[in-house]
Amino acid sequence: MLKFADYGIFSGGDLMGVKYEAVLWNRQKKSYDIILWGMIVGILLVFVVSQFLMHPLITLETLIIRATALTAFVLLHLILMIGPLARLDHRFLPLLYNRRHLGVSMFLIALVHGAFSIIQFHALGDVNPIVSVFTSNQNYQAISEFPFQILGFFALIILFLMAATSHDFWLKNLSPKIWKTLHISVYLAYALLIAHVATGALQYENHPAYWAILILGFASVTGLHFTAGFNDYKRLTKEKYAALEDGFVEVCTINEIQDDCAKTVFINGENIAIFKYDGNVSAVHNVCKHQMGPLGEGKIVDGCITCPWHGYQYLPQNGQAPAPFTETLHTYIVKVIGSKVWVHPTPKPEGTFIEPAKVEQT
Amino acid sequence: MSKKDFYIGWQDEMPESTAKFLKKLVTIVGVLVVGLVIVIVTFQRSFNDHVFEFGSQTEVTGVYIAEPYPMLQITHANLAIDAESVLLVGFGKFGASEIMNEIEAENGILDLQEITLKGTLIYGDGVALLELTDQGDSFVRKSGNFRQPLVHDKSNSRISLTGEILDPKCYFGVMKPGEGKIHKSCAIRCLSGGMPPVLRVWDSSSNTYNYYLLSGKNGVEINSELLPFVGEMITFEGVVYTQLNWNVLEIDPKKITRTLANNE
Amino acid sequence: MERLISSLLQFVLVYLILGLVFTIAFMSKGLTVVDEGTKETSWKFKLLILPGMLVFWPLFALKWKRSLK
Repeated sequence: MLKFADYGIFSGGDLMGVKYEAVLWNRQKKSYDIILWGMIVGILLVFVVSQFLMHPLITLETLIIRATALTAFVLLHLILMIGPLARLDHRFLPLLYNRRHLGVSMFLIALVHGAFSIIQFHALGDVNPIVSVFTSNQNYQAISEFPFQILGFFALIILFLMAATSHDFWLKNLSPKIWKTLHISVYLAYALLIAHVATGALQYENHPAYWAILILGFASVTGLHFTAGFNDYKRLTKEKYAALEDGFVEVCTINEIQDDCAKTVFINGENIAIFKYDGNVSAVHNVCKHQMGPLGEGKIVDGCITCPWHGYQYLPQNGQAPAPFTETLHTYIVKVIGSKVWVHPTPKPEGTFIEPAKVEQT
Repeated sequence: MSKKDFYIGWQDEMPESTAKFLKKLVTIVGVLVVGLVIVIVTFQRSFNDHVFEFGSQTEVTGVYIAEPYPMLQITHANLAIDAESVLLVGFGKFGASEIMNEIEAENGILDLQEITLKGTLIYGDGVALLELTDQGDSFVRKSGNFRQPLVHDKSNSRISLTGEILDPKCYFGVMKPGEGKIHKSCAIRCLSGGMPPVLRVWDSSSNTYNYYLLSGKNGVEINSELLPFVGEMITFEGVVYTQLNWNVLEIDPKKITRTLANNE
Repeated sequence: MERLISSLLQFVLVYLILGLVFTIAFMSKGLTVVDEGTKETSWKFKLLILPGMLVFWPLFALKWKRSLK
């Protein structure tokens, strides 16, 4: 049964309780990376060719600095849009599965940009190049003259920390909470980079088209996040459940749950996914232990609840990941009476076996 | 979502509908990104045609003039442009003064003497510079000829000018762009390293730029006081005089005013 | 300002060098004690976590010390 496995699920190669690999390659990841790097090489090529056609006087250094800046910035926008797009439409989920390779690639390209810029503008001078980044321009008062390199420098450090800790080894060893916090700082890096571009390149290249593109990019990223957030909010507030005797709450009819799928409910602050499979109904906590993915939007595959994000698996009856994995989820008691599904919204300790409720044959 | 299409990356086969969707998506994103790149390159400001002969060194013979900034009044040279002098600059982000001091320590005072230096040529917009790439070893020989000191007429020459302070090495060929906000820190670094500061002023009557070497009164170096104003539009008041093909503006760095304008 | 940043930079450099020294020792002995999943892992995996190790090494020093008690 344990396909979860072939251990191919691990995006970076996590194994909680099993041996780590540098990258656990599988078919999807290979095609993902081939398409990704095909696109990166494509962007660079189109950039270089159009520069030589339209601006043949460009120097090699400027070409490298601008090509890498543009490529990394475009990739960052795509990275940030994948999350909300996957929440709005599940067909985008395969892009999320190997997103970390996208992130690490973006960091490497941004690193080339940062290193070349520091060498070009700050090296071979009378002070250490990195010191020069901070001391050459000290005009903090005027926005148009603001030392934009510092913004890029700190953004690059954040991106480095994220890329360096992208392997699931770090998720485990930093603890999921710290890891998630660190990786949410991508939004801080994004804000810094928007300011870096606005107070840097766009103070020199000041054609209105550039402002329009920058604003459009920013609006797309923020707009998608707000739309996805609003959708979740609407769904959560729409559902109201009244508690009934013995603490059980009636949530839906059995037909509202598709086979091998779940209905998610939010009761008394408990985020619960109720799965129907093989004539059984089981309920678990709706948050994956890996990266807090929404389990209820996943499916039962090979008898296991399978997270839609990276394919982590759990047995529905007890919330335990199949051996040799060790993650466990809270479980909840469910009842099926007639065609109604009832759940007791008090979580049982993680990994507690609960006898599945049987769907009554009619 | 249609749960039949549920697909996780570690599964061997991707459902056909998912594959179709992704193919379409990747194509659309690809076309959009290519269009974006072309638009971005199209609206870019064009580069100047200044030249840095990186990798090839040239010998230039001329009379060495140390003040206000080291330059050679050309007597024998094979330059691609017609210039009366070459302004000397150091390797990297440094001026040439220290290198010339080092050369003079070995070869005696050279001011106003005809010497031959080798280095990398930088030129554009009627201005030529020579980077002393090999530093102290850039000195080739002295001929024994010399000239009389230059006489500057500074009477009736108080003027007020608005423009951008540049470092001439980057601007006249080493970097493109060698001006404006992106290059600002580099220009600050160069001036801090003793590069002669140059003021670029737009002359709207002839649609060309005029260039002025900036110095303090009587040629005093004021680079460190100019650093906060590099790369911005600044108005200067001072005394202007001509030295060879250069205009030199002597200013009081305490009386500089910022001008609100964009960095055109 | 310049001196402050220079000394800060030097501090970061020393921190990273200490991190490298620690990581070399840690990877040969402590890593498998702190996280069993790293047993028999390839050099590629170790190389992949090296940059992060240079930053987060004090955390692993602490974990290693705790595991020795």
